[in-house]
Formats: sequence, C-alpha cells, structure tokens
Amino acid sequence: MSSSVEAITVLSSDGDEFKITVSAAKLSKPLNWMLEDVCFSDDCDEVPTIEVNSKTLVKVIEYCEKHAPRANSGASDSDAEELKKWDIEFMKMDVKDILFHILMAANYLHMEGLYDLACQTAADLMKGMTVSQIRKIFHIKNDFSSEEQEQLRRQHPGCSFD
Amino acid sequence: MNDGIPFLPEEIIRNILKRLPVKSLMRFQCVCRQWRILFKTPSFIANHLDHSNHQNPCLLLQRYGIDNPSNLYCLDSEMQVRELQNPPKQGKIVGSSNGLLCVEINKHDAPPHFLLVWNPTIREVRLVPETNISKDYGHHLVGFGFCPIINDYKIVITYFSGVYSDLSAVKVYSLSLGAWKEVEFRLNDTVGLSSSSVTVNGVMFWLMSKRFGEDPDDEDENLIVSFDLSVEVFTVIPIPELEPIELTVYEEKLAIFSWNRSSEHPGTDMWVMEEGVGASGERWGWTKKYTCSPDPFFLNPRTILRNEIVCCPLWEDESTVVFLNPTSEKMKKFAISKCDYGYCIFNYAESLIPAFTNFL
Repeated sequence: MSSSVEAITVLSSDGDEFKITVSAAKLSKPLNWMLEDVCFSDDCDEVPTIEVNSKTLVKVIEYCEKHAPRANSGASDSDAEELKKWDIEFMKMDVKDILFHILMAANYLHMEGLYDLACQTAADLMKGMTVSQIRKIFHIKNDFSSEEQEQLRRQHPGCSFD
Repeated sequence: MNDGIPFLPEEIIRNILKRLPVKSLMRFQCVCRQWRILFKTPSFIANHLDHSNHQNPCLLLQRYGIDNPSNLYCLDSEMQVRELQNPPKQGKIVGSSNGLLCVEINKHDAPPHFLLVWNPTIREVRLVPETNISKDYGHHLVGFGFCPIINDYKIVITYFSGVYSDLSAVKVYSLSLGAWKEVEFRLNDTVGLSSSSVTVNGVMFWLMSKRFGEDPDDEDENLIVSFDLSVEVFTVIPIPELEPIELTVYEEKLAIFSWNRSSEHPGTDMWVMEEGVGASGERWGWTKKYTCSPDPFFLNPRTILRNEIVCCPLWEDESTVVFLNPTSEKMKKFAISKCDYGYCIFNYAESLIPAFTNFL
C-alpha cells in the first residue's frame, strides 16, 4: 500500500461507500489486514465490502475516528477521562435499535474496546428489564413446563417468568 | 443482518451475562432452560467470578462484638453501602474467598463452635461438621481459602493451649471432600498467631510472633507461617526487621503493612513478598512498595482494594473507612453507619460459586 494514502474507502453490506482514515482503521485487525492488502494500492479500483450495515458502520467508524489518536499515541489521564465521558454518550442507544448490531460488528471486526463497551452497555440495560423483555431481545421462548415453573417458584420465592 | 434485533451468537451472550450482578442472574434463570443450566456451569461461574473480582471488588464490613446482631455491610465498587440480608444469627465472618464466606457461629462464647460456608448472593448455606477435637484447648483460629491447583476450598483451624502457647493441633476441612483431617505442625517455641489469615495462590499466611524468653519485656521475633492448601505443609518464613500490623494481598502477592518509626520519615510501609528471587540465595525476598506518611501510628491499614489502602484510622469516628491512594497520598472517607466497636473488614466479590457441590 502507498504511504501517501490517508483514508480508505469501504462498502457497507448495503452497498454504501464510507471513508475511514488509515489510523482509525488500525483499531480493527481485519481492517488492518485489508490495509496491508493489495486492494489499497494506488492502481487498484476494487473497494472492499465490510459485512456491516450502513447504519451500524457509521457508528463504528465514528468510534474508530474518536479513539484512533489515543490508541496510536497514548494519552494523558485527562484525555482518558474525556474519552470515557464520550463513550458513555456514544453508547446511549437502544437495544432494539442498534446496540446488538454494534456488538456483532465489534466482534466481527475484532475491536476489543468497542466490544467490551457494548457488552457492558447491554448488561447495564438488562439489569432493569423483566424476564419477558429479555426473552424478546434475545429471541428466546419460555421452554419451562408448568411443573418446572412451579418448582422454580418454590425454590426462589418471588421469581417471575414474565 | 436485517433491521430487526439480530440473533447474537452464544459467545457474545455469555460475555454480556458474565457482567450481570448475581441478583439479576437469579432473576434471569427463569428466562429459559438453557440459561438456567448455563448459570450452574463451572466455566460460566468461573468467567463471572473473574469479572466480578476484577471489575466489582467489594468490601464486607462486620461490626465487632459477637453479642450483637451481626450486621453485615457491603461497600461496592461504586462506593454504595448496603446491608446484607439474612446473615446467619450470631455469626462472625472468619474468612472470605470467591464470594463464599466462612462463618463461625458462637452461641455461648465457648466451644463447640459451628462453622458455616455461606454464599450470601445466591443464598446457599452449608453446615460444616464439627471437628472431633477435645474441648481442652485455650483458643483457636479459623482460616478459609481457595486453592486453584486442586480447585478446592479449605478451612484450617489451629488450636492453641493459650494465647502465647503451644500449638496443640491443626485440623483441615476440604469442601470438595466434605471431611476433616489432622495435619502435623510442630513448633519448638511458644508462639502467637495473628487472628486473620490471607490466602494467595492457594497458600494461607498468618503473622506469627515468637517469644524468646520467659520475661514479658523481651521483644518478640516476627515471622510468617504459611500453609500450602494443596500439599498441606506448613513453612515458617522470615521477614525483614519491621513492626508488622497486618497481612494483605497486593497484585496477587503477599504483602505486609508495617509501622515505620524512623524519625526522618515516620509512616506506614507496605512490603511485598517475592518468591524465588534467589539473587542472594534467599527463597523469599521482600520489597518495600510504599511509605505513607500521614499519621503513621493511627492510620490502621486493613486491606487493599483496587490498589488503594483501606484504613480504619484511630483518630476518626470508628464508623469511618478511609481509602488511601499510596502514590498520590489522597484520602477518601466513607461513613458506614453508627457503631461502637469498629469493623472487621474482608475483601469480597459476588459470585455464583455454590456452597455445596464439589466444584469439579
């Protein structure tokens, strides 16, 4: 790859084009491999596809661009504090809307920081949910027999299947 | 991926679930059979514990004095204090490991003493059978710790014929075997052992003072006694010349808080033990990690939480816990609740570890 390249173009799974700076792309191992790949040489026209939908990819790139300076050069404690606050704001999203897509993307793109952050956000959201809300977001069916439910209720008074 | 909520692979679901507090997991075992089984799976329990130990380490505080109802408080990593519900009556916490508490029930302040193993978050209690020790001893000390090599928890009781006296017997209980055994430990000297022990990587440690002569004015020699929970062997370990206050664990190594009375820099020191350093042919090496200067004799360091020294300073109201950052020397104070005698403090992390099974 030519050293003059500062940003690369990728396609989302929906076929939209996105630009991501080289330093931000380094946060993802697969993207980093692509960077070293021939696809990004100056005489190659092929644009690689990232198997992430456009809506999610926008957020992932936003995260990468914000975290890239710190990841590449290290940062002071005050920067780390600022970044933590930014992460909290960034993660203010709904499970139904996009959070699980972000989780899948972070996992697929091997982005440890974002994956950890998204897992923690999901866990924090779950704390306040009912059992039936949990089943809904994870596509789970209640497979307990009525006998099993009765037994569980005896063992854990106050437990709820709804 | 479509625009609906995607189906997450099991690996990701596990990674989310391990971050949930036990209270939520207890609720979510009603979600489906698979989750209910998962929460009892050793590998998930271990992942959850690892996360809990590192991300949400807590302190458990119990009021001194066995006569009172034994109120137990948990100070969590967000510095919130809550009272633990339904603690065993007349129970004194004598050890804490991976979310399991060893509790001594003392009804009449005389033997026999009953021991329980209790996981307060999943509300499981296991009664430990009595030892067959004759009641003819002065006092005893209870230690409780985990040994990763054998994946077992052990209770170690040392019996003495008096406060400064001969060690008369040692009994060890394995939670996975569910049985007591006697372990040999002969000391030719009259010794005193610290009432609290700490366990690091499967080895239990006590502070020991050895009396030289009959004269009460004679100075004691300070040493450490270790007990390897896997092979069940005692070792006496020399320590640098210092005035030890308490043993603790620092970055998975044994550490000692000690008083430093030197006139130039009086303070509280923390020494960390390195094993097998071997530079000067010694088996154990000690490094001084920190010197904290504020009020050396009244700081009363007790343990370490997230690299901060937890103190119950003697100049404060006794319901105050102070967190001291040894590098910045900044202090944070927390009031727990009104009490007269101060607190016993234990490191604690919520876990799903059952009090019953054999952990294998």
